[in-house]
Amino acid sequence: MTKAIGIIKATLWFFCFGAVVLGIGVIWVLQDRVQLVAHTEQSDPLWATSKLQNELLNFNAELAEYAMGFSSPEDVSIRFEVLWSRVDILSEGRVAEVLRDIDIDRSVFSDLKHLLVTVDPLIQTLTNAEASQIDRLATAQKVLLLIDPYKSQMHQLSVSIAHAKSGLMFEFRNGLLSLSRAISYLGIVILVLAGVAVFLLILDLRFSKQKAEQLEELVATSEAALRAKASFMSTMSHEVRTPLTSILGGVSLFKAKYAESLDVEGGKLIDIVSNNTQRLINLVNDVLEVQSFSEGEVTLEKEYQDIRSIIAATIEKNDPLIANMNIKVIEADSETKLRVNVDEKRISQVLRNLLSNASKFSPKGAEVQIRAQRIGDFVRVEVVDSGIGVSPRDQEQLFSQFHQINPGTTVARKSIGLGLNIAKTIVEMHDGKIGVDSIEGQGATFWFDLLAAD
Amino acid sequence: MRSKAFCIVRNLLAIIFFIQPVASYAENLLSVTVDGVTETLSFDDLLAMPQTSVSTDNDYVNAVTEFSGPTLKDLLEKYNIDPKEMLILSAINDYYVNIPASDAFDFNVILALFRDGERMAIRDKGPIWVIYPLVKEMLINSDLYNGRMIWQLNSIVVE
Repeated sequence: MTKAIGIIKATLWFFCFGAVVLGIGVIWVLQDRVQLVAHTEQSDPLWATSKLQNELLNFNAELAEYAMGFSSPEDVSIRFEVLWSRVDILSEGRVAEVLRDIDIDRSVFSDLKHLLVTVDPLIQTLTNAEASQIDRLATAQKVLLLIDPYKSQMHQLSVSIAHAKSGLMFEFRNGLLSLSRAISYLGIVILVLAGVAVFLLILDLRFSKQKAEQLEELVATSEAALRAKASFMSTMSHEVRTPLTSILGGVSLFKAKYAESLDVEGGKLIDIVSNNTQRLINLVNDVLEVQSFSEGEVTLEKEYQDIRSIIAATIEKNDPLIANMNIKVIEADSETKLRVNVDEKRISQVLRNLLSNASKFSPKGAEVQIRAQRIGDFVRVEVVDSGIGVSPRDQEQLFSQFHQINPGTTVARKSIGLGLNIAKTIVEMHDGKIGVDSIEGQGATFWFDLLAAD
Repeated sequence: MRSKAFCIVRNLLAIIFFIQPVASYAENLLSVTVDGVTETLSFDDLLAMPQTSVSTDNDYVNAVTEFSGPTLKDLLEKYNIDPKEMLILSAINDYYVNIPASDAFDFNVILALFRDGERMAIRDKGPIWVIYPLVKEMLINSDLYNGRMIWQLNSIVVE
């Protein structure tokens, strides 16, 4: 398909190039021809020659009349002058240019000029008052004899110029004919090119329309799938939480009532049941939470607080997530201002998530440090563990939904990978930033920055 | 002795040759006919009018040439000829062209008496040559204007 399109494109280009070359050629030739013809028409040598012939005959007639005594020598002189000017027309300006271009014997012009120069003094003697009538007549006859051969020569010249001109016109008409053919070829080529271009455009349009429709369908389908998944998750979680809560309640009651009558093994079993039920509830809660975050249902209830008190409260609360952890709070200088405007419940949740995450990836009983400090306009809280660390590749995806790093062999440590994502969402709702600094195998420092409130 | 006589005759001829055309300039150089009334103008009459000089090219000269003489417009105004009139310009050899009088008002048309500062004999298309100074916008129609540049003009008739 693409190969075919390539061939079509190349052919189109070839034709376009050909059409342009043809067009330029046609215009070039046309201009040349038109100029030649316009030149010939404008300064028609035939007209100039026939005028000359006419004047020659006029002069001849005037002279004859004079010889017969009907005309004055001044009239003869004027006719001669006019004839002279007519001969000059053929050797000056445009007519001379055109005559040079056409193929005729031009010797007759120089002969004529020579005749005029010869006749000139004779004409002057006619007007000479002192000359006798007999002399004048003799002169007039002499001139008549001199110009006589030129009458037929002029006729010949006219004929040959007419011939040359009609030859030129024939050539021009022929040229026009071939040009008109060239123009019609050009027109056909242009039409075909335009047709092909339109056809290709329509094809392209159809193709892209189809593609757009397919894409729209795909988007609609995937959106529907996403919605279905989310709603399924939500419903599932709700449905699962209710029985889980009952189970946990039941197990707690059982433990409270019958703990003393149980042997060591029984107590252990009950603890396992209790812990795993709690884990399940936490998972379900996480899923529901992410769901409500993504649907924009969570609003913050902000209060001005010292971050230290939030940290202390979080640890004291003895949440099952972080119970039994070896947490050490590294106290900052009491002078340092660490006040922030935050939703305490949510920031506490961030802390719990970071702590539980730290504990998951650290050896059992290892120390996890919490440090709060002021960095510029921000209050930074750091959770430092000495666990397996995070590889640079994982650091990028750590905070996305459902991202998991294999935390080890113990099933109990497994999570569904929502904790960090929830933490990130909450911190970003506070216009803060969250991140991790880690060297693989040497522990990790998870931190979040909140805007200081002073 | 004989050669002396020949010399005198030749000189005499030469004088006549040079005087003769000048003498013919002196009178009846141009006739102007308006409403059937004809008036003739001599070379001096035309020279007495304001003179304009133009340098132009046309189909009948080899290069740009300087022409000078009175403007046709001045002549038409002298006879109260309206630009809407048609003029018949005729030459010594009875050749004539029709031109609209408006040309005189639209273009700087002159009745050239001098070519490159010299008077023109009849053989040099004189004594009067109607010259249209061909400017750029006239070139497209240069054929038309070249055709109106009548030489050896001797009569203007208003229709």
